[in-house]
Amino acid sequence: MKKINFWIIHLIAGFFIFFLLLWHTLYMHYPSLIKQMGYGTTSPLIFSEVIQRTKSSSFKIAYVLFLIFVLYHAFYGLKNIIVETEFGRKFENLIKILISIIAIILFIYGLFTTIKIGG
Amino acid sequence: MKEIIFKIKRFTPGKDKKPYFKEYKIPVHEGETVLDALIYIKENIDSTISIRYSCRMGVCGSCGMIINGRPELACHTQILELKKDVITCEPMYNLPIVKDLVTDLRNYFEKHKSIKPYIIRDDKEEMEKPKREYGQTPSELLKFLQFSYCIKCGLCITQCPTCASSLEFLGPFVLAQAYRYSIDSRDKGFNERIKIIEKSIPSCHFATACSIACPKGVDPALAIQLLKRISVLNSLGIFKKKIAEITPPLPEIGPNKDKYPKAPEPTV
Repeated sequence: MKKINFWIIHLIAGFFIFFLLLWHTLYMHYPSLIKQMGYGTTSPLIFSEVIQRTKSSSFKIAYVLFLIFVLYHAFYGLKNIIVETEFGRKFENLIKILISIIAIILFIYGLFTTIKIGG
Repeated sequence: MKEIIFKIKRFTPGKDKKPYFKEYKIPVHEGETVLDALIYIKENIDSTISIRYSCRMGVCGSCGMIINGRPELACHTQILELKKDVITCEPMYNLPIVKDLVTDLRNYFEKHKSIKPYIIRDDKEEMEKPKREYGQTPSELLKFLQFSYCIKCGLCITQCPTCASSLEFLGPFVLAQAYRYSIDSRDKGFNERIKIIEKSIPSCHFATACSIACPKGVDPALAIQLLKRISVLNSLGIFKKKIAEITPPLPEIGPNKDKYPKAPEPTV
């Protein structure tokens, strides 16, 4: 894949993170507003509501997508910052591999947690 | 007339361990530029000072340097307008020093060459031996006109934080020229250029220091942002540009055409 395509995915991930975070903020912190629009509940932070929600497949998909976008956006950005330094330039390939491994481990952990919580 | 102290940063690689400032007190008259003062110092006080200049009128971009901490063209900076009794002159930052105020821009000129800063067309025959011009509307010209005023003085490089940290980054003026040619309606070479510029595009953090530094009023930061946009659109396959065609030949001149002298041979 062309180098520029990785950067374009970085931009697209940032775009989706913005809307997913907006949705998260509205859903969790402005439930009455969301309720008026015909979605969500009036008390999204109650334990039973949280359990109910995590069992929903649409929420699981949203969480996993959010995880993918955040991890890609954060770690690609981090890689770019490190690679621009003198140290980063010297060990560019090693840094790429290390960052990819950390991101994959975190993704597996996040995926496992998302699946496990809902049951 | 006023007496002004010039603090000039001196450094000879291989001889000096590190750069140092040397002071020169000279008489200054209204209308004199920093370049005039440097030439005065070189001719009358210290002939060992190295400076680079050519046109003395802000066109060639040879005399770029840091004057009182700001990137300026020495030939374009009026001494009395600085309103200081002490003026410091330093070589441009982020570039290797050849000697004193002369910096080595070869690396950036090579980078500039690598982005193919010329019109690229499929019709090689027409490119090598043009018969007619390519038609271009004023609005198509305005898309790149301001970027064509770049004189490659390198002052944008001195202020660019990415140039300071990354050797691979092509630099503001190089990327601005890549955009200038890529958006030109006569050009078809964007797919060739993108291979060279793709690594540098994301590295620009949009500090816009390059645009502030430019003595010709060019906005390289804008060019890089626009270059980012067309690169994304091109990667997604939705970048469209109207390509200029060769203009049709002019109609034959009337019955008196033999009276007109023959046009000179083309020089290119």
